[in-house]
Amino acid sequence: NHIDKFKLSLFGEMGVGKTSLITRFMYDSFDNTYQATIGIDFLSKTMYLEDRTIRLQLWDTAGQERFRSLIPSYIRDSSVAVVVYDITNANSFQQTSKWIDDVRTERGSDVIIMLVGNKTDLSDKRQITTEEGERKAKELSVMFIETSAKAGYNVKQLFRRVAAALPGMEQTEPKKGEMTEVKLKDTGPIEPEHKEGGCSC
Amino acid sequence: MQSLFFTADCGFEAHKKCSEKVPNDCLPDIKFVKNLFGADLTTVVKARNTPIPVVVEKCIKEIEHRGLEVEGLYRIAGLHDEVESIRMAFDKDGENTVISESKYDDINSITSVLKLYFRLLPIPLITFEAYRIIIDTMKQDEPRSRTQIIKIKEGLSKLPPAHYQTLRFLLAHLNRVTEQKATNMMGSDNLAIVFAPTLMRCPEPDPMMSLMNAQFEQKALETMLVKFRDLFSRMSTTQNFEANAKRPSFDALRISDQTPHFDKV
Repeated sequence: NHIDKFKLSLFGEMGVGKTSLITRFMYDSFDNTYQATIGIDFLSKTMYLEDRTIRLQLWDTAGQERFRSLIPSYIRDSSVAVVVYDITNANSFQQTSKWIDDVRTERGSDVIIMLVGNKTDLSDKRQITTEEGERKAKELSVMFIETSAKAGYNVKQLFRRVAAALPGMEQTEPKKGEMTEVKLKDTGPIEPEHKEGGCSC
Repeated sequence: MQSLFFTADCGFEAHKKCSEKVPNDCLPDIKFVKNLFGADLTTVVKARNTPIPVVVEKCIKEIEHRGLEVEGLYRIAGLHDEVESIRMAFDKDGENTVISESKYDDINSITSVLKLYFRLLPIPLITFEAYRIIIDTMKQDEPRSRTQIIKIKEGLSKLPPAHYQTLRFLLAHLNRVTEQKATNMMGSDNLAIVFAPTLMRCPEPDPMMSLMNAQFEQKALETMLVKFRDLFSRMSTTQNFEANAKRPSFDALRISDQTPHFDKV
């Protein structure tokens, strides 16, 4: 039985909770060690949806500035870009515009973008209201959700909503044959022809 | 119209087409070294006659003055506008730049400026020559073994004096950051993850290679933090260091091995 594969990449400033969202989704756990991500990690998860089964490849990118030049290569073959900010850090919210711009520049409207306000458990330190998040999402025509990876709030919903919007789902666009299939290489994240920008390091 | 002349850091002028024949060992003159960010570290240090770059010294002093307990210190990014404004201020005012809390209240902006400074160096703080030796031993030898320490030392001995002194000053500071890890959550492993990419750059232009090396860069910096005293004790490095020092003023550097604490102003 054929299983559609989709690549999902997470972007956002350092320390907003990209890895924690993945960890909660994959293992339903939360790691308190506050460990930063080295380079780029990737994991796969099979999702059993109502009418089909899909395989999501989750790409967790380090927020560090030096790896920014790699981002276009990741966006290029991603079906989904999840752009995360920390609701207690206004700067991380501001920067999401830039991340979303980068994604749009690379993919236009041919990609699903989800804006995520993480860390709702820290409500006493909140700097960005839900309304502000919603407004920005509306302005930039992207999806929006607030989550807490720590408390396990809305994380499954985040990935389910994204999955439901993927091409090939009944309730969205009609099927377009091979157009719905996203071809992914199993080996490396970067295709050799992606050379612009030179040495990223 | 573009100038037909090339001006060296010391003010020496030559026709552009002759400029590649000009030896690049002059003593730079401050008026020809305009920006701090993006300028060669040795050039800046020589031109301003300071042991380490003014950006590094001022940012570290300011961060230590404000306290090292903030969660995610060096991990959380500062405000983009503030970071740009501090950078421009440094390029304009040099040592007279004011980066006090009353002017820029987010400590993460100061840490971001420091990381930005290192990232923009044309020659990385840990130079390509040192990088090759250090990353090789991280790949080949047993972690933190005697062999590995000796090879890292050998790599560090290849650093130009100003790079070496700046690295030592920075690592002493980062070790003080790790002492507060119970509150700031930044132990040497975590600090190395966020700092290594600013101090080391993979000499290969292939981005995949650079990604693959990231974990070895992290291990290298973590080892340098943990083994700081072994690697930077004056006794064992003096010889190499003096052999590298070209100008007597570098001998007068006084950055103590005893992890100095800055006077609180």
